[in-house]
Amino acid sequence: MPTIKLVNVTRTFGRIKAIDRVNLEIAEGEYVCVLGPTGAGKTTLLRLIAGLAIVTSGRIELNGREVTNIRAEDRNASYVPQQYALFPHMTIRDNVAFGPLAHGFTPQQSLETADEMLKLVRLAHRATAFPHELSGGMQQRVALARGLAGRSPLLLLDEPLGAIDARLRMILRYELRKLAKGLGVTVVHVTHDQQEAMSIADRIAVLRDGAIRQFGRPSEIYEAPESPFLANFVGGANFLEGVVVREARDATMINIAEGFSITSSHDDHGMGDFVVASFRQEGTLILTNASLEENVVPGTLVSTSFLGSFLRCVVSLGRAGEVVAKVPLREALERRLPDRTGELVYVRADRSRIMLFDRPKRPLAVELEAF
Amino acid sequence: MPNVRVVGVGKKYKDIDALHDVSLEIRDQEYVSIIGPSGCGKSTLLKCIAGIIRQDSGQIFIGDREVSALPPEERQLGYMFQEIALFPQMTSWDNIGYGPRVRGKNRELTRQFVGQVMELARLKIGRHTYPDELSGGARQKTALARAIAAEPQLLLLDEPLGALDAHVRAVLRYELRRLVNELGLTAIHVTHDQEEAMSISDRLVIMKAGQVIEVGTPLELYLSPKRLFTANFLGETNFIPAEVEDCDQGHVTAVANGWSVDSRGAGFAKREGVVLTVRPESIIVAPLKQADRQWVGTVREHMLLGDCLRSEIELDNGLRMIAQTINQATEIAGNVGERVTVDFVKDGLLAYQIPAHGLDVELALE
Repeated sequence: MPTIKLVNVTRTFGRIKAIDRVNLEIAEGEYVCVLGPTGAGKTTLLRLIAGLAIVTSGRIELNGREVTNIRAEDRNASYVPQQYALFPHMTIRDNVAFGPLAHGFTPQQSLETADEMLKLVRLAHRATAFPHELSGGMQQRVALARGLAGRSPLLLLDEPLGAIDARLRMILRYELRKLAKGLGVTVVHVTHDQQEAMSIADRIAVLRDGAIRQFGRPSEIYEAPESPFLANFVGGANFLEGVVVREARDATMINIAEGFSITSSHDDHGMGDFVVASFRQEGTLILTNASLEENVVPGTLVSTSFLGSFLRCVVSLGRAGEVVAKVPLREALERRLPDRTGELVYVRADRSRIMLFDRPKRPLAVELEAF
Repeated sequence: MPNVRVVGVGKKYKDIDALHDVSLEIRDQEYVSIIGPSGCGKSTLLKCIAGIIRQDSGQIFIGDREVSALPPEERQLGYMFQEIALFPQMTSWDNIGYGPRVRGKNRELTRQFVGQVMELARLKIGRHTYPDELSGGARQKTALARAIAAEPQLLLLDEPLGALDAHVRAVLRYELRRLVNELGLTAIHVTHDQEEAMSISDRLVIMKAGQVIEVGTPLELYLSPKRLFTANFLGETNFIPAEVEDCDQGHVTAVANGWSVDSRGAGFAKREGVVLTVRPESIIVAPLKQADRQWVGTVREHMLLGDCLRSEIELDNGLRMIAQTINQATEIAGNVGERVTVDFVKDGLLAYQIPAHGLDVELALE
């Protein structure tokens, strides 16, 4: 029995469909991220589950019980909003104890729970501080502790790491997952950060324009995205538009522009189909010399930039557009890589790594847009 | 265009040193990012250069001119904040043209100029569009276009991409860099995002607790940071406590929990305690061979981050390490629970003195 079940949930604001026929089943103890660009409806979806917004149509079940018309406080779910409001005149400890106290626990029990939760979010040493004495990141963890202290089996988190610096956020996302798994709670976590979602979730629901575009394990979405938008939004990719000119088993040949074609081992498209060929940036190799291997395309280097463990190279393929290659730093240091803008280089992608999509109905640039 | 010199600048709030004896030189047409955890003083430093905050001590020079006591409008700079302050009652075009108009350009010249600036910024918005009708990314670009339309020589950027989604943010930073390049400006960019800073900057200034602790190119600081704090701040790093066995010619042999390992490093005494660092991507995980006795362990967790796979390995000597493998359809060595060998790429390890105030305090991000 799923802990959370959404059946055809729709929410409209006037003529705008903020949430459009969403179906979702989340299992007990599962950690699910709802990922999408600004305006996709992520917060609205979370508020519908929490009971802070009411569905226009459809049904919501929590723990096997229909709660569609049940008030938020009777849903036994803990919601931590993005704009968490800590009580400024109360200590951190009292802020966290407020949850259990409101749920009818004794003051003694509530404070004990608060101490325990503060230890979990690594703020036990700041228990007597006031909110304004803490950094934004610490305040956000206090809000999380307060959410956890209610001891509800279902945690609804809206951008729980949003106010935290990039480097600390990287560390805390692993801790947040460990924390949730340790407590055995079911979590729905809203974020716009695809890497955060990939590194924390059991499954990801990608939302766009109020509808779920794909729901699956991070590796499923990364390896088999269902649209160019998904490939671009989750992980980033290169895209080339073309037409299928030859089909054979494990070898679909696509004409991209005058002069070059590429071969993909995906073979679910037929002759004459207009397609978008897509390959990951870290699966795009840069060669300094021509090669007779398959899928080697000449281009000119536009720019390089340093990402830490990768070097990012942008290569222009003329009329076919630009592609990005992420070269592992170690490899870049070991062999001489092109660094002069305008230099002739060759890019290559393995046929097994080239995904094929139907050409989208709207222009590719619009399909990929994430804002 | 100007170079910028900050000489011994200090600023106190009550008893707290927001800036302590900060000195810095930024070259003509250089793109420099100031990074550090929140509260490190990076924004305060930028505001002192802008003239929005007056420093208590020290001097600031822009070009040949000392500007320490000048108001912001006499410093010839463009300034862009995280909180975009576009005039909501004006169209986006009028927002961008505001600076030139105030400076006395006539209507027709201003219109032409705004068109040029928008082309440079690759901004396509209608003549009659108001800021609140734009997406977050387009609003941010409009704010940037307005800053450069004032024809500054020095551009100061305080978390210019802070209000945007991760995805848009990563696209716009390259646009920002290209624009600054094409205009030949000097730029100082404050951010908490180390990847953003590394990807677009000529040099990085690392700050912590009101002080500049290290300055260098992104590659220098990533590969050979002088401070453990920098190593950790610029990306995930494994820290291994060890004891020096031998140290000679920039080369250290050390023992970590009973196992021997080589690293870079100099000036250590025998038996001295050290901290070794190694980045996850410098660790090579391979299937266990019969002969391996040391640096062997068990895979505890795999996590696909997209472009790479992050693996947690528990070594038999009690150490835990994070390794990262590029996701290039290569075979993964070891499923969860399987036994593996851990090796390091050449020059992948670096030895450091144990910080006097302790490792945790050195690495602290808040």
